[in-house]
Parts: sequence; C-alpha cells; structure tokens
Amino acid sequence: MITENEKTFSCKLQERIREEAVCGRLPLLRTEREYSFWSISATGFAYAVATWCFLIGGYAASIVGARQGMAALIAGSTIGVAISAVASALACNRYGIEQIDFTKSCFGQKGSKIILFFYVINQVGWTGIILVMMARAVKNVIASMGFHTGDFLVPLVTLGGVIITYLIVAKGVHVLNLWNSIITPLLVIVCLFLFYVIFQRFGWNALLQAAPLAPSPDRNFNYMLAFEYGLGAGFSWWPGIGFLARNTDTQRNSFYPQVLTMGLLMGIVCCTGLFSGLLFRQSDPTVWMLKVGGPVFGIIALFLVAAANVSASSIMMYTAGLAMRHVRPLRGLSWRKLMLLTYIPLIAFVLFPDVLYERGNSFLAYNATMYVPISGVLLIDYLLLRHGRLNPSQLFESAPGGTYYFIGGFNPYALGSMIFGQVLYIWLYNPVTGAYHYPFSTLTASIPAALLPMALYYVLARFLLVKKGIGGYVGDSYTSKSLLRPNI
Amino acid sequence: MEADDRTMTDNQQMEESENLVQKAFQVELNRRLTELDSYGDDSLGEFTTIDLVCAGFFFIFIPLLCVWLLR
Repeated sequence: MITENEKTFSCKLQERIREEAVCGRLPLLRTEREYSFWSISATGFAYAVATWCFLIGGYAASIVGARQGMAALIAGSTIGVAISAVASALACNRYGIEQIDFTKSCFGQKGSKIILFFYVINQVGWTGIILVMMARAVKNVIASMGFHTGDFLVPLVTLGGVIITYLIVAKGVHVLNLWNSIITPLLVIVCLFLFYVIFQRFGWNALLQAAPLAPSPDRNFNYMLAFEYGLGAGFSWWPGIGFLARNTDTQRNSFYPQVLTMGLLMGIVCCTGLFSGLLFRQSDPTVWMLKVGGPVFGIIALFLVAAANVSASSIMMYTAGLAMRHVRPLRGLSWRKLMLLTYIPLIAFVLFPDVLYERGNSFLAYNATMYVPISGVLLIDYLLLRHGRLNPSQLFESAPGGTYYFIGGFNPYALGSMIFGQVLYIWLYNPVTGAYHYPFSTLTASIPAALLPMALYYVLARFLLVKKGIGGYVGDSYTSKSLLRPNI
Repeated sequence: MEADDRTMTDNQQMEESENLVQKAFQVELNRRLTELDSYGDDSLGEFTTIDLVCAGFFFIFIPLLCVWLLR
C-alpha cells in the first residue's frame, strides 16, 4: 500500500529528475528536446540582442572607425561562435550531454575540472560587469533628472543587483521566462531605434568619417585588437553552446542557427554600440544612450538595460551553479548554499566596481585567451581523432578504469596543448597589460593560438594516446558499459 | 532535548531521502544511456563533411577574407 507521503515523494522525485535532465547533467533524450530550427533561432536571437553588445561596440569605437569596426566585430563574432560550436554543439546535441561532461572525453575526468574553472570565471566575470553596467545606468538616469548622487551609489546598486539575482537563482530561473519574453522584443526596438537615429540624424558619410575615440599609433594593431574583441565576443558563448545544443532536435539545427544568431547577428547588434560610440564620442553605453534619443528615450533604454542585465546575470549565475555540481564535495550542498559559494567572487565587483568595469575590454579578450585553445583542441579530438563518436556512459564513469580517465584522470597532452595555446596568446597579446609582439598586428592572437595547439595535440594524441590504446580512440565499443563509480 | 531529538530525526530523514534521490538519479542515468544506445548513429541527422566544408567556407574563410580586405 502506497501512503500519501510516498506518493508525494515519488512525484517530487520525478520532477527533480526531469529538472536535472533539462537543466542539469542527465543526458537529454530525443523526446524531451524543446528546440526546433525556429525556436533555437528565437532563443539565439534573444541571447544575441544582449546589453553587453553595446559595451563591446563601445570598446571597438575607442580604437577603430566604422568600416573596420563593422568588419572586425561581425567577422570576429561569427568566426568565434563557429569555432567554439563546431565540436561542442555537435557532441552535446548527439548525446544530449552537458558541455563540461563533453570536455571529459578530451581533457579527462579530473582535467575537465580545470576547464570548469575557466567556465565559472567567464560566467561570474560577465555577471559582475553587467551588474556594474546596470548600477551605472541607474546612476546616470538619476543624474539626468538633475539629482546629484554620491560615489556610494554604484557599489550599492551593484550589491542590490547581486542580492536580487541571488534571490531569483535560489528560487529558480523559470520566473525569468515571462520577463525575457517582454524585455527581448523591447531591446530589439531599442536597437532598431538606435540604427534609425544614427542614420537619420548623421548619415552614412558622417559615420564613415568619424575617427576612433582613443586609438594607439599603430593602425594595424588597432584593427587586429578590434578583431580580437569580435572573436572574444564570439568565444564568450562557449559555455552556453552545449546548454542550448543538447536541447535541440537535430545536428544541423544545433549548429547553424547558433552561428547565425549568436555570431553574425550579435556582431550586427554590436555595431549599434560602435556607431553610437563614434558619433557621440563616448564608449560607455550608459552615457551615450541618454544622448542618442534624448532623456525620455535614454531613461527608457537604460531601464531596459538594467532589467535585461538582472535577467542575464541570473541565468549566467544559474548555469555557473549547475556547473559547480561537477565538483564532488559540492554535490551534497543544498542549492542555496552552493549558489552562495558561487556568488562570493562577485563581492569584488561591489568593492571595486569602476576599476573592474573599465577593464571589461581586457576581460573580453581574456575570453578569447581561454576558449580559443580549448575549442581548437576539442575540435581536433572530437572530429578528427574520434570521428564524431563518444561512449556517453563513460563520461559518467569516475573509476580509474574508465575510458576517459586517461592518465590519473588527466589527459596531459590535451591540457598541455591548451596551456601552450594560452601562453602563446598571452605572448602575442596580453589582455591585462596590453603588451603585444609583432605577429599580432598581422596574424591576431586567436588564429595562431587556435591552429598551433590543434596541430600539436593531433601529433601528440596520434603517437602517445591512439597508439597506446589510451582514451578510447580505437577498439572501444560505443555502447554503454555498467558504471562502477558514477559521477552524478 | 525533545527539540534536539526532532532535529536529529529530521536530519536523518533528509539524509535518507537524499540517498534515495541519488540512487534514483543513477537508475535514471542508466535508463537514459540505454535509450541513447538504441538511437543508432544517424538518429539526429548527420552533420556531413559537406556541412563542415560549407561552414568553414562561409563562417570562417569569408569573414577572414573580409577582415583581410579591409586592412
């Protein structure tokens, strides 16, 4: 006889399993997938029209003019998303798996924790930057109304944003679905209005003649740096790609719509920030928005920016929290405690909001530093060495005999190639200090930092992994094996 | 004292139900892996070599060419 309590527990359990499948780590089955071509395009579109596009465009306006800026941003973000999506989207879609689980097939069960670290930095860093952006938007709106605000306002509003997003995430981000369905169309209208005002008031010629705000003397360096910003914007999507792809119905739908919306379209939206920055001589969107369409439009636009930023921050912190579940000691923590732990680094943005906000362009390039070599190595591993096939059961096997355990839980050749790529990138262009070496002005930092680790890893894996039968590259069955130590 | 006992019982119950959840997750994982096996290779539509070449041409080569031409 089943008691009422047992029935309730069973219902709750089913709900948790469903929740864990859609938003967590259980492989998502074909019947559970929500996105078709149009729905993944709509979601990608909503992601692309994000407020950080205004920031990225503003960074480019500081160093290049309209023509070069457009090419750099649109081409950069398209290439960035294409390279980061080609392996991750296809694998996550084929097996319905989460992005960090996929990286285990290349970097090893323990090695993937290193990738997880970069993943969380990306999510927390972008969250901090856009929360400060929200705080500055509030400050500028108040100032435009003629009220003077003290220095305390930005840290205070940032702290408020941190608390609000924490409460949303602790409760569950589903409440944001309705919120996003209202905010996203309004942001599209803001973008269209910005384009309209720019071309109606200034015209194409004025735009082409507008000089960059603060370029360095080396013209090639400026152009390549703007291209790096575009690439950084594209590669910043790396953590989100698997999350969407695993929930999409076919392989092609998991790839093409993401590149077209989060790459190509995002590059175009970034151009609103670029054009406004060049024409209004100000790279900070929270300042130029008030100048573009007058105080009423400016206040409405900044209000939308603030609202969209709360929503985007909540989603990013939510995915960061889910990713933290990969760390065994954190798996037992309650969701609220886990999120509290994930939120700790955001305190830095409350204490030093302006310093960190103004280093946003370095953070943008940093995303390319981290993800360019990771994406390159994953691409070679999945497409060339594994011919697009994994054994999904072994991604959940933590026992030393597991297929993806490699050497002590790490694939030293994949990790070594990745580190080589990151060091090479930093040598070519250091996003923190701004120092660079000559090849950067011709080759960029991302292209060599993707191609060389790819070639290095291919050679190392062929001779030291495939030949020795390590890592399941040859002779391994693709059907499930029973798990000795499941890591879920 | 009574309150302490109640807290201990609550904690034990929570721990037990968490263990049950963990076991249910593992059973569910196995079920899903078996279903994934049954799909076969082409179940989700193949992303062919032609797709890869087209993607490389339109999303990498053409944008790179545009950037190079505007140098």
